[in-house]
This record gives sequence, structure tokens and C-alpha cells, in this order.
Amino acid sequence: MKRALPLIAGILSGLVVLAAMFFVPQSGGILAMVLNWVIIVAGVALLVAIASLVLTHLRFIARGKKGFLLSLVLVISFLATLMFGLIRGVDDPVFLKWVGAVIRPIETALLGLVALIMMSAAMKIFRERGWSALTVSFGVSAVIFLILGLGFLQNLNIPVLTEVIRLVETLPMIGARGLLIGIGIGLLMMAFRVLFGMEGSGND
Amino acid sequence: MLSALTINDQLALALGILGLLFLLINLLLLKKNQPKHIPESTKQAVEHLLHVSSEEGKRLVVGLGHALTNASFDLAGASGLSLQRALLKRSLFNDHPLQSYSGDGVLACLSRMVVHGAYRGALASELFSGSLSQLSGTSPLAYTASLTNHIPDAANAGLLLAGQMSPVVLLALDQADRCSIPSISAITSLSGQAAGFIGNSVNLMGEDVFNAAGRLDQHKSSLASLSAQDWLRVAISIGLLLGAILKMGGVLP
Amino acid sequence: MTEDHSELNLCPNCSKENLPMATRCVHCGSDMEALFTIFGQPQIPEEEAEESLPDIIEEIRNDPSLQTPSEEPPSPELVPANRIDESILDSEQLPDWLAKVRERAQGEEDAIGDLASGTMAMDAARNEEASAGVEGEFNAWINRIREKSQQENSVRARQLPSENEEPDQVPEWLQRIRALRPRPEEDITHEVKTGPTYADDLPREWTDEALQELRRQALSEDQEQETEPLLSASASTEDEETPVEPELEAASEPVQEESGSIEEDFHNIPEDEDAYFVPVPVEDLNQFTEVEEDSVVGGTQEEPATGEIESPEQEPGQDTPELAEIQTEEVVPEEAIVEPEASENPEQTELESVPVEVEDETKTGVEEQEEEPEEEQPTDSAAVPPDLLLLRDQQDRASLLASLIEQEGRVTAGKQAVRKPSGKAGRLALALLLLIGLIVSMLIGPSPMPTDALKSMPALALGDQIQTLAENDKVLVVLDYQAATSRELEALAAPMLDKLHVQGVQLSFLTTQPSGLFLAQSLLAQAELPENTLVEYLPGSYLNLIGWAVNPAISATGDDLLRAKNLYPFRLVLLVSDSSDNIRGWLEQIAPWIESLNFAAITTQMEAPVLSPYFDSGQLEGYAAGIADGNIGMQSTFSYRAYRVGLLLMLVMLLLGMISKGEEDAIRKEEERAE
Repeated sequence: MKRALPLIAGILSGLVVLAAMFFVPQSGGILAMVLNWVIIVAGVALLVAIASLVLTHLRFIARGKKGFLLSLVLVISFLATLMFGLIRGVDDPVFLKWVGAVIRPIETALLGLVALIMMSAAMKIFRERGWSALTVSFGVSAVIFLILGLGFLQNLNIPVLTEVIRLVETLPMIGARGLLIGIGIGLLMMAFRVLFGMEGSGND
Repeated sequence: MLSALTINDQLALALGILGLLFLLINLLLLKKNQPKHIPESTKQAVEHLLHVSSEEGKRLVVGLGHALTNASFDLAGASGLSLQRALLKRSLFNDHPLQSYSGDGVLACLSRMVVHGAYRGALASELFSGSLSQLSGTSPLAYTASLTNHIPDAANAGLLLAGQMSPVVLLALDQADRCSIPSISAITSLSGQAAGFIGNSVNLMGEDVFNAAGRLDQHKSSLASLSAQDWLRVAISIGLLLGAILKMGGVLP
Repeated sequence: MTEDHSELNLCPNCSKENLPMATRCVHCGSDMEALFTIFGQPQIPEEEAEESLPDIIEEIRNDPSLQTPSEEPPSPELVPANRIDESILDSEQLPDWLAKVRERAQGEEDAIGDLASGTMAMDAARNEEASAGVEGEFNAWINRIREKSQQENSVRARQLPSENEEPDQVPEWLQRIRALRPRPEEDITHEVKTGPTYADDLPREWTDEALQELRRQALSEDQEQETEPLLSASASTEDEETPVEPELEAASEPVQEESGSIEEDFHNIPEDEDAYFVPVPVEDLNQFTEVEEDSVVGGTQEEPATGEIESPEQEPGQDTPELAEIQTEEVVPEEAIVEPEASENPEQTELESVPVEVEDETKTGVEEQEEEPEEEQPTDSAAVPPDLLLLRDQQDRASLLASLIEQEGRVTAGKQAVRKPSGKAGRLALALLLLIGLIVSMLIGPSPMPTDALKSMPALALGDQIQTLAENDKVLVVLDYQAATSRELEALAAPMLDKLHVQGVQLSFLTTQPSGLFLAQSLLAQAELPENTLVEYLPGSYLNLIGWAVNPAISATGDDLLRAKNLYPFRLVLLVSDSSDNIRGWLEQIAPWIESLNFAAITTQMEAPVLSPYFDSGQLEGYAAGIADGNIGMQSTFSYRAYRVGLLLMLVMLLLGMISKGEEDAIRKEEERAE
């Protein structure tokens, strides 16, 4: 019963929301209320997760675990941002400026690294994966779209070539659509499993 | 509202009902559900996961993604949980049990529930540790950076990425590659799948992302959903062909 | 292992074992010189032996009859009647040449003389002694075999108190030594005699403690004979059930709490031992480990699914790899999934001839292979003292360890090959190449996107959509991106927002990311919008908006806190996002509720292909992605030249990768052809 109760509650919630979607003018209030609950629970869950994260790293620091200096940086940064935000408010321009000044260069540098890794991966991918239908199609399409991206062909202003380019540019849509259908199918089945309580929490 | 459904909505609803019907049929089928057409990539991935989690006794690092409730509410973001559960059951008593990292608050809590449930199911609740499921950053970059930082560990045997992830996850895959740690990506977002492909990992695409968990789980529900998935795929293919024919014949506008 | 045991000499008097070099029995003190005689050769004084030894050896070598013992009995007429028994005995023991010599000497009495007659009499007496010693040794050997067989039949006998002494009065310490010294021929005998008993291989897997415990339990419950619990337990384990389960099932709640650990112990010990008996091919080792761990985990689960997986017997006609595959399918129930490595590499399976058998066979492949390592045991261990010899378990463990060491570094099935990480130098060179190329291209001078460049269809559609907006039209701008992609998106969005502002469109800003608050500042500055423009944070993203969208009563009243919550007044929602999944969420979750709402997007080039189906289906009015679509407005922050250089470098790397792979393949083929 201890385990069945949350399961029943979850299943009922899912079914109610699903049913409410089809009777919206009447069930709008219920739906809005349930969705608000979801947002609140999500917010609280985030708080719990952050608290757990901080506590875990505090434990690392207390034990002097390897790499605890990074934990120290995390805790100090967290506390500093929290205190700064509480004192000055999250809309304070100075606060936002400082936070942005720290986050933006770090994240941009990481994204730059991704570009570099992509270059490296482009060179390695055939050695690692060998020749297969997938790698060959990947290589051919990558070369074509890189050439198109350079813009030289478009600048020629040849009507036939322009039409061909337009046609080629629609090709990714076909692949994306197929993949999206596949993901949709998998997601639908997963949703049913969740909805009917077939996805347990690990002890079933 | 029901009367206001567009053709697309009606089609989606029909597909949903069809999927549910297929699932129920497969669940109720007396014969055992054993999908015959598991893609090779999934097979390899599953075998690899088993190898890592069961044989080497090392830690398997699972990245559960960063998007369940952060910016969008997408159930695909929770697809890694079933994989985590399936793998965790095989590494509960290892020297280094499975370690998961989430980039979303709700995902972190759910992941911890999975870990606790697995230990409780094994009558070993005392072995449960909250640190086996951690939050690591609440934005895609912060999450990926944190995950990347956890990879170079001698006790790590493999990296599994499952859930919603941005292409930035290529950083983690590259780190795993440099540390000679085999990696598997079962990312539900398309751009993440592209990153997984180029990132030298066993890469799952499309619905295969959801197959791996079913293959590992071997739950009747999982296997039934895999079979239903196959049926639905066939039904959609037939529907698309019919639609194209009707469109060409001028029946459909 | 046979020789080492037989090298121990048995005392002809007390039948106790002595070291090979002992001349006197350490137990009774009797002389053991007889054991050192060459069969059929009379004992002679040392001096004489020294003189005649080369001759004797030479004669032995030359005489072919010595190679195979003669079966011919001596002719009865040549043997004196009063010594016929001795003659028969001698003829059985002595070589022909010696019999002939004696025969001639007996016939020629003169040649023998009195002294020789006395010597012969003494020789005869000694031969009698020697033959008696040989007979005793033979009997002792037979007894040992019997004794060993009995020991093997009841494995626990050596742990129990020695209630039944052996018939040949062998002391306990000797039994221990014999138990410590496995002999192949005895093992073979044991295999034949006790095969049915060990059909499931379990008795050898039991540890002493476990057997004692079982025996105690059985004695206390049934008052049966000592060996019965073992046999019953052995039989009960054939269906892979733990013998302790009945007790556990009948146990109370606290005991059930411990059942997991008990089952775990049970699973671990036999399978460990089982694995030690295997001649350990790599796959088998992996498989055993998997079985062990999986069974441990599986044993702890609450709801084992039965009847889900087809058994291998249901699909006959499979060859070995297929059968292995079936096994793979079969042994992966939800509580214990095992992926036999053999199924992943059928070629290897065939090469190593690993027998793949169904589980219900009486003798498993493991048992069949059990004899192999024993045959490979070193046979010459005569110089090894008995106390230094190893138990069979220890030997098997050693062989397992050796095979594990041998296995190290090999690529096992299901595991990716350990890749050699790419060198740092190569990566550094790539980085330098990229950086130098980009920096140089930017230093040359500004290079804006040409205004006449061909735009993508979605970008053109977006431009058209913006053109249709009139003054005072409301546009909701949703900022949903990270700091990392802010440069790319701001460069696209800022000119567009500026254009909209110029057109007199009312802009409302909403961010779904906490970081959007400070990112918006930068965007507003680039778009030259007023600094006091309100940017609202919306927790829960579009989910927060669904409640308003589905409840017109609430929507009609508006909302003071979040003005943007009411979506109905907006004509266009412009999603500035670096995540196609988030954009999909808006299109799939919000759009169906408010049909009057149009959606457009500004995203990164990485995410653009995912949006193309939505644009094609009309769910998205248009979108701009990346620098290629950046010419929809004035762009001053981008260097088009640097962008092109980056693309060019990427193209070169891709082609280099293809070429290097092709070259590598060609070299390998060439080498293969040369070989």
C-alpha cells in the first residue's frame, strides 16, 4: 500500500490531465491548477536538488576528498551569488552584469571548444567508424552542405543551380521528419508506460 | 474542444489510440514478447552496458540530461531513468555502483528515487547513498562542464548519455574518448544525436533510444511496448504511403 | 601427478609410506633395501654391483625381451618339482635371460658348486622377500585407489571425524596427504565411478563450511545418514535453486531479511568455484562473471517474471552461434540478464570450440572441459615434497588467475576496443590552425554578409512575416538561450528587433531561463531598445502559459504580475532559442490552444534542421538560423570572411579524414595481399 498509493496518485493525475485536455472549457480550471502544482513541485524539486548538491560538496570538503578544492569553489560561488542576489535583488543591473561577466566568457569558450572538437571529430570519424552507409552518407552530405554554406554557388546566380540548391536544402527535413516520427513513437510508448504505472522507481 | 480538433489533431489522436491498442494487445498476448528486430546498434549498446556494469565492476557514469522541466516539459527528458534503473540493478553490489548526473531538479530527484528504489528492491537500503545521483549544473553548459569533469576517473568504465541534451555534450564525449572510456549516447534530441554520432560513441537514433532500456529491462511492459512500437511504425508507414497515393490521386487536398 | 604419488615407497613390513630415498622404514624400522633392487636382479654386494652394473645395464638394454615382460611360463620339465611354485613366481617376475641362466646353472650342478648353491638359496630367499614386497606395494596401491575412490564418493568424509578406519590401517595423516595429492588416474576413476553423483558438479563447488552447515541442518531435521543431505542438496541444485531456500522460505520475517545475503553467498560461492574449474576461455570467464553478478542481483528482486523468454529448446535447428544467440535471449530474464559473449563473436566461438549446451543437459560444457587442465598438469613432481603440493581448487584458482592475466588487454565482445586517444600535438595543431585562420581573416578587415546573398526559404518567410506586422501589433519575444550561444543569436535577433521597433510594433519580452535576465540586457543594448524595457521571467516555461491558454476566464482578466501570460493579444510569438526541443515544445504544447497565434523562431544553425519539418507543415511561420540567414538586417558584429574560413577548414579536415582512411585501407589491403 505504501508503494501503491503514489503510483495510484500518479496514474490518476495523468489520466485526469489527459481527459481534461479534451474537455477544456469545462476543465480549464482544474487543468490550470494541476499545471501550477507541477510548476511548484518542479521548483521545489530544484531547490531540493541544489541543497543536496551543496551538501554533497560540503561533505567532500569536510572529508578532504580528492578534488575538494573544486567543491570549495562551487560552494563559495553558490553562496556569493545567493547572498548577492538576496541583498541586491535579481533585477539589479549590477548583479546581472557581474553574473553575466562570469558566465558568458566561460560558456562561450566552451562552445568554442566544441567547434574545435567538431573539427577534430570530422577528421577522425572515418577512421573510428570505418566505411558504412551511415558514415558515407554523413560524409557526402557534410561536404555538400559545407560547400553550400560557403555561398560560392549561390553567388553564381544560375537559376537552375539555385533550384537545385533549394531542393538539396530540403533534404535534411526528410531525415529530421523520420527521426522525429521515430522519437514520437518511442515517446508515445514511454508515456503509456508511465501513465499506467509500468515505469517503476527501480524496485519493481 | 473535441469538435474543434483539426485534421492533424485527429490524426494524432488516432495514432495515440492505435498505439495504446497495440500496447494492450502485446501485453495481453499469451506468447512471450521477444522483439526479433532489435537494431544492431542497440544490441551492441546493451551488450556493452552489461559488460561494463557487470563484469568490470567499475563505475558506469550516466548522464541523464538537463531538460525535463528546465525550459520545456518533455517526457523524453526522463528516458534515461529507465536505463539507469536497468543498469543499476546490475551494479548494486559492485565496488563502484552506477553514478548518475542530472541537469534538472526534478530529474535529479527522480533519479535519486530510482537509486533508492533499486536498493530497497534488493533489500539493501543501507547501501543507498545519495551521492550516487547528483545534480550537476542546471544549464546545458554547466551540466556538460560538470559531467566532463567527472569523466577522467580511473574507476570509470563507461559513459552513458541518455536523455535530452544539447550538442554541447560533444565535450563530454570527447573527454571520454580521450580517457579511452567507451561511451554510449542515447540522446533523445536530434541535435544531440548528431553530436553523439560525431563524438565516437555507440550512438542510438530515433526510437532506438527507447529500445535500449526495454532491451535491458526485459520487463513484459517494456518488451510489449517495443513490439507495439514496431507495429505502430508499420502502421504509420502504411498510412504515409496511403496518404501519398491519395494525395497524388487528388483525393486529399 | 601419478608419478609423484607412486614414488613414495611402501614399507614391505608395515605398508606405510616412506620417502623414495629412505633405506629404512621410518615407522617400523625394517629394512627397505629390497625395494631398491631391480626386479629379477639378485641383490649383490656393493663391490660386485659396481663391477657388474654396466654389464647388466648393457644387457638389459640389448635384451628386447626386457622391454615387454615375457608372458611365457618356463617349461615345467626344466623346473624341479619341489620348487615349481618359486619357479613360476620367478618366471613371472624374472626376465627370460635370467631364468635361462639359472636354469642352466641348475642343470650343471658342477658348475655351480656348493658355494654357488648356497648363494642361490640365499638369492631365492631374497627374491621371495622382494616379490612379497612388490606384492605388498601393489596391494597398497590398490587399497589407495579404493580408499581414494571412497573419499571422492563422499567428499565430506575428510572433514568428518574418522569414524571408519581404512582396512589397510592407513593413518589419518596419510589420508590427508593423499587427499592433498590429486592423481589423474584416480580422478579419472572418480569421474567414471562417481559421474552420476557429480552430474551437476555441485559437490566440488561446496566449501567445507557450507557442507558442514548443510549436514548439521539435515541431521537436526531428518535424523538421516550423514551423506544423504549432501546428495539431496546436490540433486536439488540441478534446477539452479539454492538448497537453503526451503529453510529460508520457512523462516520468519527477520530471516527473510537476511535471505538476500544468504542467497548471494550461495550464488557467489558455487559459481566462483564453478568458474575455477573451467579451462577459462576469455568468453567463458566473462560469462561466468556476468552470471554470477546478475544472479546476485536477480536473486534480490521481488517479482521475477516467468514465462516471458523463450527457452532455447523451443527453437531447434540452430547452429552454434545461433544457439548462443538464443542463449543470450534466453538467459536475460528481467531479474538476471546474461549476454554470453560467445554470441557476440561466433567466429571466436568456433575457433575455440567452446561447447554451447542447453542448460538442462546432465553434464555441462564446464564439466566436460574440467579434465583438460588436469591433463595438462605437470607429471613430474616427484621432487616436490607432499606438503608443497596444491589442492585442486588452488590449482584451478591459479589457472584462472593465469588466464585472467592472459585475458588482460584483450578486447572482449561487447566492449569497444580501447582506443588510442588522439595525440595532444595533433589537437594543438588543429586548434592553432583554426585560430590562426579565423584571426587572420578577421584582421584583414570587416566583412559583412552580402545583402544579395541567397537566403533560405524559412528566412525569407520570416522576413515576409515581419513585413506584414503593422504599427501597434503585439509581438511576444521569448528569450530562451544560454550565454554560450548568445553571440550567435543576438547577432541574428538584434537587427530584427530593431526593425520591429522601428516599425512601431509593441514588443514584450519573456525569458524562460534565469540567465535570460542578464542576457536580455545585452540584446536590448544591441537592438538599441530602451533600457527600461521589461523582461519577465516565466518559471515553468510554456507550461505556465497553458493554464492561461486553456482558461479563458482567467485570461480575460489579464494578469498584473506577468503581463505576457495572456497570449491572446499577441499576433506573433518570436522564439529566440538555442534549443530546437524548446521550440518544439512551444509549437506542440501552446500553439494548439491558441489558433490565432503565429510562431517564428531565431535559432542556431545546429538546431535549424530539426525545425524544417515544422516550417514545412506551417506550424512555424519562418525561422532564421545562423549567419547564413543573418542578412535579414544590419549585421556589424559578424565577419563573413571568418565564417567562410571556418567552414573551409572544416571541409578540409573532413576531406583529409576521408583520404587518410582511404589510404589506411589501401595500405592494409596491400599488406594483406603481400602476406
